[in-house]
Amino acid sequence: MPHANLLQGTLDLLILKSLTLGEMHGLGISRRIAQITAGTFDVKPGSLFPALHRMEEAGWLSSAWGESENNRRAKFYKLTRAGQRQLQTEATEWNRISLAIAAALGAG
Amino acid sequence: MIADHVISSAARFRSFLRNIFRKRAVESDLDRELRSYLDLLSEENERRGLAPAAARREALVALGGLTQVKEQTREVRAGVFFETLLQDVYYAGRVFRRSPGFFVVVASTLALGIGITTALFSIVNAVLLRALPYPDAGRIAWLAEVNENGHRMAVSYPDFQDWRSQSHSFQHMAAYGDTDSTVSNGVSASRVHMAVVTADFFKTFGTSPVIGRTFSAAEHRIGTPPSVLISDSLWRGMFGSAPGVLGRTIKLFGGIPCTVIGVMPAGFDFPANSQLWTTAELIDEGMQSRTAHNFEVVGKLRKGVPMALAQEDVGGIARRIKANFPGTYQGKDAQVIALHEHLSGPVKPSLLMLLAAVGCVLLIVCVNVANLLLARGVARARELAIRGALGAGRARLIRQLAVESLALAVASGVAGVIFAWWTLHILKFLVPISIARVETVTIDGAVLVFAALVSIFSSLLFGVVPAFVASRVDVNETLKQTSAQHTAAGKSRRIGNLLVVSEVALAFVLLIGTGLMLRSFEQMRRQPAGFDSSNVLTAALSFPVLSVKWDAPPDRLQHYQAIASRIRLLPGVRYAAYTSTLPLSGDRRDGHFLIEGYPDLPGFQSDADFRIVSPDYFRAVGTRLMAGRLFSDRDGASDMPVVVINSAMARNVFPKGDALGHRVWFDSFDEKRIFMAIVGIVDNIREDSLIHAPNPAAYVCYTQHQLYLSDTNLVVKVDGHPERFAPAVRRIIGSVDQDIPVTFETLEELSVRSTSRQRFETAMLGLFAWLAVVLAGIGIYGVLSYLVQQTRAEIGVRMALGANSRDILAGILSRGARAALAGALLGLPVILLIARLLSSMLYNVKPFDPLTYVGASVFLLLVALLSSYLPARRATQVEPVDALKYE
Repeated sequence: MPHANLLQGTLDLLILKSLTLGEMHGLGISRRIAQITAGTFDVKPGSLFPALHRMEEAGWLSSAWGESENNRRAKFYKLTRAGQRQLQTEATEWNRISLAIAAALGAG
Repeated sequence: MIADHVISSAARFRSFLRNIFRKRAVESDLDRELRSYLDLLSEENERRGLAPAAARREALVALGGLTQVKEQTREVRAGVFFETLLQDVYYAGRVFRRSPGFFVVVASTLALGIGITTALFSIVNAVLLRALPYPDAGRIAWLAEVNENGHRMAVSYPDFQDWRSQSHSFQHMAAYGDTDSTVSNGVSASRVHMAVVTADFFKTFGTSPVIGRTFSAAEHRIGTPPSVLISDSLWRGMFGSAPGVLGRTIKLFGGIPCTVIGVMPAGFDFPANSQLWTTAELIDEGMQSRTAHNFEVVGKLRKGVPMALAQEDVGGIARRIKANFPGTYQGKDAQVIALHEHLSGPVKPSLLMLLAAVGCVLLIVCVNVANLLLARGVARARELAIRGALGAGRARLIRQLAVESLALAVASGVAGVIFAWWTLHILKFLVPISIARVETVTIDGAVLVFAALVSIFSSLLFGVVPAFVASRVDVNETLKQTSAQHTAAGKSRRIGNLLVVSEVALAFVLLIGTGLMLRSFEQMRRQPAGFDSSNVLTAALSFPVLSVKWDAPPDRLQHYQAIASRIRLLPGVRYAAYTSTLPLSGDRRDGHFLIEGYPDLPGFQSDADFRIVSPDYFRAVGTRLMAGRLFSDRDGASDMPVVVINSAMARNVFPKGDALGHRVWFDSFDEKRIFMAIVGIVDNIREDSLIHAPNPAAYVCYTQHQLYLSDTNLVVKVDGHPERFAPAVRRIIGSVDQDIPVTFETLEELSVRSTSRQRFETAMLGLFAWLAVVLAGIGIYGVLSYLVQQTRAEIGVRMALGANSRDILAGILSRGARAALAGALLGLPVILLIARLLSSMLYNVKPFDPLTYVGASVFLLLVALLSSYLPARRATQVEPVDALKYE
């Protein structure tokens, strides 16, 4: 299993991104992250749940209990307006940094 | 962005409230969420073809522990800090309740340390730190003349007037002097300390009377009917707080009627212990002479003028005066210092030394407590390991222990303040009253803040090391142990040894310091005083200066002689004599002299203390005659003027030893050219203090010189207890004049009082050193007991293999001795550092006095051996079988 070191900011960004398609429960989010990062990131519950609760307290996510596809009760998270703005901000910031890092690594 | 920030803050605040107040709902929500995650995960696993049980197990493994994930999630919640802090406090309380004995011992040790530190600080606070109780006290300066030798001296009235009129730095400047007087209101009379002041004295202090007014300009004119201000305590005592006190008449100096014009507030105590203030013009003594240095001067600086500028200003004036009046008795310069510094300066070094010493004691207390907690932390390793396994991070564990330390410190701090309050009541009896403002010592806000800081600081000191050691336990290792004590034991034992060595070092430093002070004190007391203080009663008499009954000096002399001859008739009285200056009184009245046929000696070589005594004085105080003769009844007013000098003057002025027969003229005291023949040389009587080398002094017979006859001291040498003669002596004086104020003191008491400050310092330092040594001993005992307990198995095995109990005993004892030696070695560099500071406080003792060092080392070694003896004996009683079973 590939183990990428997750910076807190990175994890937040991935969670926000994974929720753009619609609401999702915890397991769904971690599966979705694995999928969109082609298996690079495997988010463990010990990181996932603290992050979800923290982001909810920050007002980026909201949560509600609902039914899963197999009629199991699960807590679903979705992006709030503030969360969408946060995603934009963090994505811009991330692009800027990754460009800068790429440039730095490319430099003679 | 700002809107986001507001939303986010609001959201976080809502979460905070929810987390705190709906904790149960939040917790069950988290629990349900994680369980649903598990269900979903096992369902997924089942879909991948696993059996339900295996699917569930794999899901649990993937989750990585329900409680841990919960704990991690809780830690990000808003308000988690407060919530867990409450838990920590609650938990600390439970820990304390579980072993109350341990914590009572620890808390009382700490309370002792915090308490004495706080008590001493409250003295430092009152004497050194707290501003004087006057408005803009920082602007009040004290001024003195500087004599040829560079020493401060009192100011003459004309000099003061020049300073006042010519300087630009001062808003107000006033001169004052203090004296004793009787005061009677027609009903009762008592002897009080009083001040004579010039105009602007009260303005300088910005203090007004609570009733009445201060002196008017007219009242400061010579010849105006005199008026007085009285202190709050005199008002309460003598006038029963009567509101109609204004306008009442009291009599000063046995007969001068003065009108009371005001009552000063209770806190006004300047000059110290004054009960009365009157105008300097009332006394009008030596106010015209530039060489009569009778006054002290205070001034209030103009706003924004620094002390240094005022120094320049007044110094310049003083130097100009000197140029115009080049006499020896004119100050060559002036000194301007803050009044606060003038009052507290003399005691500052010793108070700071005591504070440092008590700080050492507190450090030792902290080290001891740290050691106790360290040992306890090892015992608690298992508990901490379990909490760590359940998801508590290291930071959380350290914080838990820190909260325990802090709770301990708070409890000890409160107990310490109570202890300090109690100690102060005792200290008040011990502190010499010669320390300015010492009567104002209380536990005020500043002291409480100090106590709180000391408590918190000490909790850091004693709490941090054990917390780090205890929290660094390896979970697996600790839980694997059958007895949980091994993991941290080795490490904490090393740290414990280090702590003990450092406290022994501190104790050693204190021991050396105390030893040096003790030796110095002993040296001081062993100084040949030049007199025999046993069986001598002294009585300070203030004869009415202006009283009609006492207007002419010859009258006074006759009354003196009458009093003395009647006292001499009392059974048991050997001598009754007079002196203008009692031994060790610190009273210096010196003057310039010329030797007949010699050119003027340079500078202060022609300067000696000038004393007026009655013929029997030297016999009464047992001073030896070194050469020539003493005074006799034949040295009358009309006989040849004679003088007796002390050995210091003889050696200084006549190094060839031919003093007898020379004639000297004290031009400072006799305007007329009167040469007195030196007829005798007596031993040096210490009149200044035991510390200072004796000054050259000349004694003149009271029949031949009437100076100072208004203030004199009766000296009565008796058989038996001198105090018993006081009532009879008072009756005899009273029969001559009821209004003569008398203060009795035995010469023995005076000697003790003259060293009261050194006695106090040495006693306090001794107490601290004693505490330090006891605490260090307890520290050694604690560490070695712990060591014995930890190594029972090892000792048992050694004994089983044939080691005899003497080897075991010697082994443990040598550890104690090694701790003492290591401590002494560690303490030595510290002593080298402070030796220079210390040497200024030592008298006739070098800071590297070998006797003290050897003594302190031997003492410390003995204490170390004594405190290792019990654990060592316990070690020898280990039964090999028991020790192995214990494992």
